[in-house]
Amino acid sequence: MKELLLGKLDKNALPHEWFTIGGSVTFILMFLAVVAFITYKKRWRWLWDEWLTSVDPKKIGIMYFIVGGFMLLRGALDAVMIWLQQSLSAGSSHGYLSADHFQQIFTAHGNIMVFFVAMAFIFGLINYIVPLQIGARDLASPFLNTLGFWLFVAGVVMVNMFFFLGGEYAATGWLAVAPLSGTQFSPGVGVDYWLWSLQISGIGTTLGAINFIVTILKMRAPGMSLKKMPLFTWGSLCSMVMAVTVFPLLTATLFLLFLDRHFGSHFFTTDLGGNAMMYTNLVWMWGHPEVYILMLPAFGVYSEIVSTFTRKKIASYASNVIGMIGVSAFALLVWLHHFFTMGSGADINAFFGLMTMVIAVPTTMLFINWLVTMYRSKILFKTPMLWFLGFVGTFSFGGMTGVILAMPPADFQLHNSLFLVAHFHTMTIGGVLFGALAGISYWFPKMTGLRLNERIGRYAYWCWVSGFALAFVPLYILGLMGATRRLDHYESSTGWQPFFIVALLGGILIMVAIVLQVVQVIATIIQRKQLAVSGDPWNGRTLEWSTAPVPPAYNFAVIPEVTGSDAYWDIKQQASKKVVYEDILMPRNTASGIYISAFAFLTGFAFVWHINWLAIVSIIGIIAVIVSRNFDENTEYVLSAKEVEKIETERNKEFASKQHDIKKYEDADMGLIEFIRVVLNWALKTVRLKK
Amino acid sequence: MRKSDTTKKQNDVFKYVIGFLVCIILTIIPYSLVMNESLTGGKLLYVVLVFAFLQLFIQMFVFLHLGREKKPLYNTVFFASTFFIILIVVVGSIFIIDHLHYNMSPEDTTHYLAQRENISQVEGQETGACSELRQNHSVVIKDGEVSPIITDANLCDTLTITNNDDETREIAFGSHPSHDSYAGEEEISLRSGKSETITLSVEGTYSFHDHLDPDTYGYFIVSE
Amino acid sequence: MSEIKIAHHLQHERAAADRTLFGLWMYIMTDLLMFAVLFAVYAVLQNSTAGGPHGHDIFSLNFVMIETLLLLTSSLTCGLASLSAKNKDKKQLFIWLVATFLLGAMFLSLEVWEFSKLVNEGHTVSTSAFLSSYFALVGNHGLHILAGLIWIIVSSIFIRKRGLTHHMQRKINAFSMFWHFLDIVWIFIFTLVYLRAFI
Repeated sequence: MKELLLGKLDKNALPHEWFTIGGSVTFILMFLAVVAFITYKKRWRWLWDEWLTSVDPKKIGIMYFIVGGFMLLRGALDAVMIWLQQSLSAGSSHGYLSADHFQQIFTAHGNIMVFFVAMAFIFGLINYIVPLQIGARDLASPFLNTLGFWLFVAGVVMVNMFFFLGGEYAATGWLAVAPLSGTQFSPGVGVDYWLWSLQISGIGTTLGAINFIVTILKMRAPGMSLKKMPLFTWGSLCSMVMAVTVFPLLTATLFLLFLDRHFGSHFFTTDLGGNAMMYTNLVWMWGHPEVYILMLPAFGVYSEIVSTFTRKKIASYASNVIGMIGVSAFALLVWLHHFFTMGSGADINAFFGLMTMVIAVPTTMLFINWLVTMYRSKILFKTPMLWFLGFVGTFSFGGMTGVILAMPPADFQLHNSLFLVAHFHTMTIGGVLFGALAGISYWFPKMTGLRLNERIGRYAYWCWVSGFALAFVPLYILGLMGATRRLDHYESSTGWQPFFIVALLGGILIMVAIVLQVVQVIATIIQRKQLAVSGDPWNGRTLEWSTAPVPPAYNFAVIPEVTGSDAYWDIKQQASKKVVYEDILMPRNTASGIYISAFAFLTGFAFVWHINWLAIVSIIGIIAVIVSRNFDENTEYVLSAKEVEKIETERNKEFASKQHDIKKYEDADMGLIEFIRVVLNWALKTVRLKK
Repeated sequence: MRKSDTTKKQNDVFKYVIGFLVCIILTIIPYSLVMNESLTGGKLLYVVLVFAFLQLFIQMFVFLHLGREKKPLYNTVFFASTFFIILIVVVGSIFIIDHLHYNMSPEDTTHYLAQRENISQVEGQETGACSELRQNHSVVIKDGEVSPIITDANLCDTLTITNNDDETREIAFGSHPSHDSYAGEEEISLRSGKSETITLSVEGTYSFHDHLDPDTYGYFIVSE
Repeated sequence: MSEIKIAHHLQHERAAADRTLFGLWMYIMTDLLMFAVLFAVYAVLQNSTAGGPHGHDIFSLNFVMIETLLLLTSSLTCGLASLSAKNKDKKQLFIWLVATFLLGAMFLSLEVWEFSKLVNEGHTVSTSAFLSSYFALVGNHGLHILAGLIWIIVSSIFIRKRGLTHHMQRKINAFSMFWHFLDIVWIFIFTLVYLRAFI
């Protein structure tokens, strides 16, 4: 009876290890703190109406950033645990983590960073900025947008669920290669949690990608042909086309692994005809394009930043676009370089090795574009530009190590070594993360009306760059010395320990950088009066800068007519015309996305624990909400021209006078010492008041 | 005005019905080709695939109106690119797994694969593959009897087994039910009327039988 | 003034319909890619029978021909349904939708019968890699057919209640796109699974 009701759930699933107890207590305390705060401020209605059920891509973008940022801290904590373990665990010492726990940590670290941090930041940027850049009011389907976000949240909850029930995560590495991920070798619930968190959020990503593509192709402002689109939108388009191509492959592969684990099929098992190598083949068909999905929007961000902070049009728009398309096309033809050593033989390895090296060509086109744009220009060294310069040095170095790895003979030595780990961290941190940070600092004034504190931003940047170098150069050397990845212990006779300790120091420096970034945001809020800016703080060239900061829900009161690329630059040079306001059709908020995702989460949870009745009920629930949404014809409302005029006049008044001189931006910013002083003063005042 | 409207509607219906009938034909032809067995093997597979792709395009154009969307032709572009990606996924996987299978097989299968490609030496070691095939021996299964029941052969001769019974026979080596493989050959599935040839590349005395009917058995002796 | 508003409204409706159908087209492309993985897996594992039956031991080409003809005919009736929707003929639309539903339901019942026969004979998803890939590929197609049948029911209820609006026409077009694509996938299942087993 109990099995029928609860499946495999029993008392043992409750937390009973130090980390599951610690993790669940921490999450519960944080959750309670947030609930208490919202209740105290009486903001539940506001939270539900203004944010959670919102279909506004700007709000959804901010929510992606918040969840992504939170998961960045979780993934960074995993990284610190790995650094600590690897510096301590040499010779007779075995560190503080068991081997199995260590394996769960690096698996979670990889999953969280790729799926729930990098993808979140990318989706946040695309959601907020692309509609503004193309002169659209919203995405093609506001409903799919909120659904995609909440499916992503369901994935986030699923990946952390094991703290509360189950006690174990997958210990298989971030892609859970078969047959290790089959029931024979991973009988617990860990791999099932892994599977469903990726499956649910993956479906959200696919729906989001479809949404973005339809938006970019069908909702551009009149006059904006594809050849006049901003480069960030181009990067996003290429990325989303790749996403829509390869995420279905992941969905199908996870479905097959699910069949293996749940129904005893034999796709990837070691017996009765299963072929585990097919799993590796399929999962990397998704896995390699995935990293380019993350990278293409970052390339777009860099193109925007270079153009804005050199005050020039990009050197060659056409070759920039061709470079992006070239990277995307080739990305689909290189996946075997992840398993050169699996044994396909010299001719196949040679083909894929060559294709991998060829990707360097369109990437170089992009780099040359940016460097030529910078040549003979007056560069403004604001934080976004600093991130770009950090990217140039880091990414090109990492890219060169990639070309080394692309050669099968070299890869036979370096496969699964720390050299590889250093390579992909260089690409993802130097490329994707720096790009996300560059984009966020570049568009922060648009999203909040505040310019980020430049001074502390610079300190954070230098800590990031030097921390990154300290943390990963030793790993390159270790890899060349023969150190394998994912080691929880090694012999002291290898002489590796000093390198791991240096890496740990680099990691600590990175943590300092992250703390500084949090300080930067707080300092910005403290100085919000001085740091308030107009809608165009950087003297930008593209359409998003034409709106007031924190654009209204409808983005543009009047859809602009576009004449050239760098659309806003052209508009700025012309005289401003009289504005004629019209009624605007706006989408209503909806909770359907939340409900469907809740049922999706329950479906996954039911499959993890083999609770059959719950699975059936949840699937019916999903269908029911979709059908009821279908029957709902009241999904839009009209914002009258008068209301639009009122909103616009208020905004223009608030932000008109805030044009400052870019060169003098840093003078008003508080430094670290002043920040500490302000915080201490506030703390003392609060204590005194309490007395 | 109304007349041209009705004729337009009739035209639309006409197009659908014609498309439907063409698809029926394009389904029946490959079906009868396979049932007929006039063509076999690789050639039949290619012909049948051609019919499948033909029907795909008929359905895409008639039922899904491919190419008739407003300019720009996004639907067509995305379908074309999906088509190519599907080819990469399917053909790429078959290609890669085939190579993996060849390179990563257990020892006796490697022996058998070397046989197929006539590779007699790898890294200075003899593979045992027969570079020169000699005499062919024929064995026929009829009415559950194998004749001749014992075949005497020399190393690197070939043996052809023909199934003249109505039912399919699954030829396995060694004793039933725990079979062995012979020189990498596992099970040979012989439908009624079909035959297979194996190379006798390993010395010794071996038995074979029909896994589905173990009373049908025979022997062959391979000597130097 | 209101004429311009109505024209605007129609233009907006048309643009929205265009986007919805393009979005569905993209979704269908992703569904095709998922099937591609299942086809690739079937192609690679079709001979891994682990001593169990091969395709030619358990498939009946005649049975499959009946299924194929049923599905092809349902594609025709579906096309005629979308034509009726275009011509705003509610009665015709219902006839063709019901016909599509019945043909699809017959197809699905035959497939379910085929599967249960196999399972009763002991050939299940866990017997061998070949059977796993067969059930996954053909079963997944069957699940999609089931989704299509549910879609027909929901659409019919909607038309009954709200009438044949522009909105509804868009939905019928969307459904017929989905249904046609299911028949297209079936062409390849018929060829690469069933016919292939006998070549």
